[in-house]
Amino acid sequence: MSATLFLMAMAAFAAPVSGTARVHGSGDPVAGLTLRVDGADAGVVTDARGRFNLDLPEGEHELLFESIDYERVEVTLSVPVAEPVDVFLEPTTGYEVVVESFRETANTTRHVVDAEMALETPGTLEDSVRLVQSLPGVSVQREYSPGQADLSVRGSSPGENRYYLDGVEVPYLYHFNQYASVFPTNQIDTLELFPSTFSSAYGDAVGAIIDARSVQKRPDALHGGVGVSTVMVSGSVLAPLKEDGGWWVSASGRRSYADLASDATAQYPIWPIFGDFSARAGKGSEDRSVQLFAWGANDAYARAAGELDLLDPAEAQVAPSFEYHRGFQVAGVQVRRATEQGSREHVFAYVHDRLRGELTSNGSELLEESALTHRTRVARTLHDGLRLEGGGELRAGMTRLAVVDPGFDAALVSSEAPALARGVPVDASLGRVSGALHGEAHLYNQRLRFMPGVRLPVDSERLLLPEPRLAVRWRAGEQTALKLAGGWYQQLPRTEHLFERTDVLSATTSWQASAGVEQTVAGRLELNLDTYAKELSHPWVVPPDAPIFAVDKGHAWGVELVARYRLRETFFVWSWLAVARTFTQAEAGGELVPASGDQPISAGVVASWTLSHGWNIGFRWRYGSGLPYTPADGSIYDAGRDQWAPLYGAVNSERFPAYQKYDLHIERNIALRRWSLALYVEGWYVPKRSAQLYPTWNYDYREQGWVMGPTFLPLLGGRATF
Amino acid sequence: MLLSILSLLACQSPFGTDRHHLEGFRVAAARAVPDADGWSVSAALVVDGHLWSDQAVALRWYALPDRAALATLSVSAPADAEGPVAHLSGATVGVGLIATGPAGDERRVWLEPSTTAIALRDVTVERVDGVTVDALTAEDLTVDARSAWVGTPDTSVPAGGAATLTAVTEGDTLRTARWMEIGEPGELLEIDGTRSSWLAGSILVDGEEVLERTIAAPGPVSLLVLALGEAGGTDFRAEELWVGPPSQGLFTASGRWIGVEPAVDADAVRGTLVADDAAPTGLALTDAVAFDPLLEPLDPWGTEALPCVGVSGPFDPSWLLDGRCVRADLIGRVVGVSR
Repeated sequence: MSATLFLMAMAAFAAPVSGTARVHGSGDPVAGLTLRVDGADAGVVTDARGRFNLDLPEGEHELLFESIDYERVEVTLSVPVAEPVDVFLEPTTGYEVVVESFRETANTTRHVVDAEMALETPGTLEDSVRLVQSLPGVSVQREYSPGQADLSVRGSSPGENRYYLDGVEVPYLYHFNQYASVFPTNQIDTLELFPSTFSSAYGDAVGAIIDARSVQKRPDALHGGVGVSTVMVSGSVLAPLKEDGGWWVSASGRRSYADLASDATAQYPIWPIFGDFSARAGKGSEDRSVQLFAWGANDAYARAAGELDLLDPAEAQVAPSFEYHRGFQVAGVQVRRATEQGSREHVFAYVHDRLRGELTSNGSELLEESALTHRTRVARTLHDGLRLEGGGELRAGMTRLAVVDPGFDAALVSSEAPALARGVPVDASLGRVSGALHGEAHLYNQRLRFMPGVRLPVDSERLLLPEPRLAVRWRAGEQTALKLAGGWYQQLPRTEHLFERTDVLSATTSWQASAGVEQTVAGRLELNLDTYAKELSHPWVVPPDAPIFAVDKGHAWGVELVARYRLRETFFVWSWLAVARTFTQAEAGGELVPASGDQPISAGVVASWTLSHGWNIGFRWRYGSGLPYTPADGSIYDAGRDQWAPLYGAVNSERFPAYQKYDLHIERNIALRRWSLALYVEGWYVPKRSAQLYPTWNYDYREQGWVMGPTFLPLLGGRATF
Repeated sequence: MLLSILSLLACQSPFGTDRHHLEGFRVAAARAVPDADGWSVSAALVVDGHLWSDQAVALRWYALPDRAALATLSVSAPADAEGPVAHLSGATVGVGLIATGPAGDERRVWLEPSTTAIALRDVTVERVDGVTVDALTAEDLTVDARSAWVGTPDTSVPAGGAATLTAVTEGDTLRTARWMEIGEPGELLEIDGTRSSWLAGSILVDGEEVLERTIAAPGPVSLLVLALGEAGGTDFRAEELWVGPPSQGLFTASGRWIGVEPAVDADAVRGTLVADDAAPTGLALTDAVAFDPLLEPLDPWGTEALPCVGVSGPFDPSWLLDGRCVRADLIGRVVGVSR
């Protein structure tokens, strides 16, 4: 019997039955779902909004809802029914193997993090950027140590990396210097790390590139959620403004709440407050879209400038405090278009970044930058075997730096107010225009892909040379690929370092090369072996209490072995072992010494299982050789102030003990009809011999000790989404 | 400095010493006094935890443009002046000192001299009755609470008791006084720029909770006080007080305590210097007799014959504090002391 005759027969003595099919846990409508009645061969199909309508004769009927993507549901109805029938379906468990290797990109070494991994990897506190710290090539830093916010990738110094969100450079990565990144995870779709030898699409960096993309998929229905963790609350909403096509909007925000619950202390007169927000409005499809966006972050606190415990009571009463405010706002528009032949993307944005630090004793710093930025990316396949990619970027900004009355106490706040600590009074503004044109050709056949490229940078500060790039990928077999990449890279100091200089500015340049093998086993298990080498000329050194200066050279090399396996939404594991060295000079003409990110051995394992009934268990282990630091070797006693100024020993001549950390994450997702609830508990364990956060010295710097972090810490959190 | 909320859980290992306690080899203070054509420079030296030494400390003084120059200065660089109580000619932005102790330890000191001098004339000690270490709470130790303690002038403090110390200066306004003690017999808790509490014992507090109390042993306690003037001048002075009843035969010589045997009640006493490691000055006077210096016109004090001073006047135990005299050269010398 055909579907039409069946329905006509049913309609003869029928009562109307209507309803909606939805996904259990989110309430999303399920379109294209087949509904069969009483075992009939044919049935009706739900529409784009998950609705169905049919007429059934009085009496009992069996309705069967089925789809390959959902568990089948059988409903027994007694017709007539008084209300619409809402049916909720469970998605079937997928076994999609995700293979990251063999991507045809000139960024031959590439690590990808997506939201699923960020949410389910322990120790990351749902923070995408923290997950980057579990990737090979990224120095394993001590959790909550002062240096943790400074990503060192393949030995790079923190200032040598660049971070982007949707094509706009992010002024800073972390709240409160280290706790949580400024990217809310639920807004991030993917985050890519290019540790070195990146393509011509990126520049003004001799370190690494982190390029994050936000979620830009049009929602089918209203979604949102709230979350709470040990230190933050968050909320988000995502909704279509029209049901069929048209604009959609999203907004999210996070805020710390300890300041609401805690009283100010002598050490923290203003308890730390931080938050971030994101708002978007978009229209279109994957092929053609426009999006308006605004996002930003802010941090504020006041702390005692020194360690009050080390001061006598009268000193502690009058000890200066330091008030810190930092925040940035970005607003812009993104336009995308994609066809079978190619794609095009334009991003225009306005960026405002402001830092203000003030000591109550004397000294303040104001660093403020406003910039208009533009980035264009174009890709086009001319014919089979030739593809061109290119684009350009431009940044025009004005930076103002005002350092007033720097005094003796300024050295205490060098990490938060570096210009104040450098001690050079200044009140000036500096305009700067920079940008680049870049192009890349992909010449390929079934086996070989040859990708030469060039980047033509420009900067109002000085003339820059073209930067050649080359990447080659060769599919040696169905499951094996060899890759080579190299190039020449340039980077100028950031604008805020230019105010104190009167001499000619030089660029840091770097020759970089990498080679590797990608091997899959049975199409599932990925094994990657990467090697790299970098040679730097005139790298910049940013001391905490003196103007920036250049040394002659530095170099880095390493070998990284990675194993990876992933079943989407079910299981992922990766492990790595890296052997690497990074050297630089402490002063021009001096001997090479270990760089701050020099970590001879690092290793780790990350695994996550999504079990039945909504359970998820994750485990992470990381190990890293101790990072170097410069010891204090006595002091000079300033008899007029009765204070001691440290005399430092050989740069980076001492090392922290090796570091290990274990993280365990247990989460239960409870899917209700139109919303779901996730509750998690995490625990971290750091062996006591690894629990040093940073060295500290007694009053005259002749006795060194360690500030120890916690060895065990439980964390709780939860989120509700609809 | 910790910037993370969660890292507030971190704890810090305690150090063996803090700046209040004078131990080992240390330059505890320095001063530069303007004179006719430059500066008279000297330093307060602590050697092996004493305000005296049996061996000389090598002191090399330099006129330098900034502190950074001192940091990179070679110890073999020719000094502009050497020795204790040296003279630097002419004007200078800063004074650098490289002190090398008897064991070869080196200390570097920086001082920016000021033409506006400050003089630390006296240190008053007032015993605070009714305050004992055994009964103190964290609330009692606040600056406001200790500021209200009422004392009686007395350089003797009962074991477990408390005293208020006050620096008395002349010349420039006192910006702040720094207080130090030899060893760790007690505990110094500053009140303000001129005063400090001193406990004849110690108390360890964590927040509102008292974790530990100790009582000081009877005996002499040496204090070193540094005065920092508003204009940048400095001065220093040693002072003694006694935990418990003071022993017999104590003589205050030029403000410093020295044991005298036998006890002599006179304004001027002559005797033979002997070593006494337990004494604050490292010295005691034996075969002591009263004498009238006016009746002995030729070096009545015996100090002209001392190789380290060669001046006429009462013997001053503080000559060991700035290193101009070493104890070994004074043993067996007959000198006179005056109140």
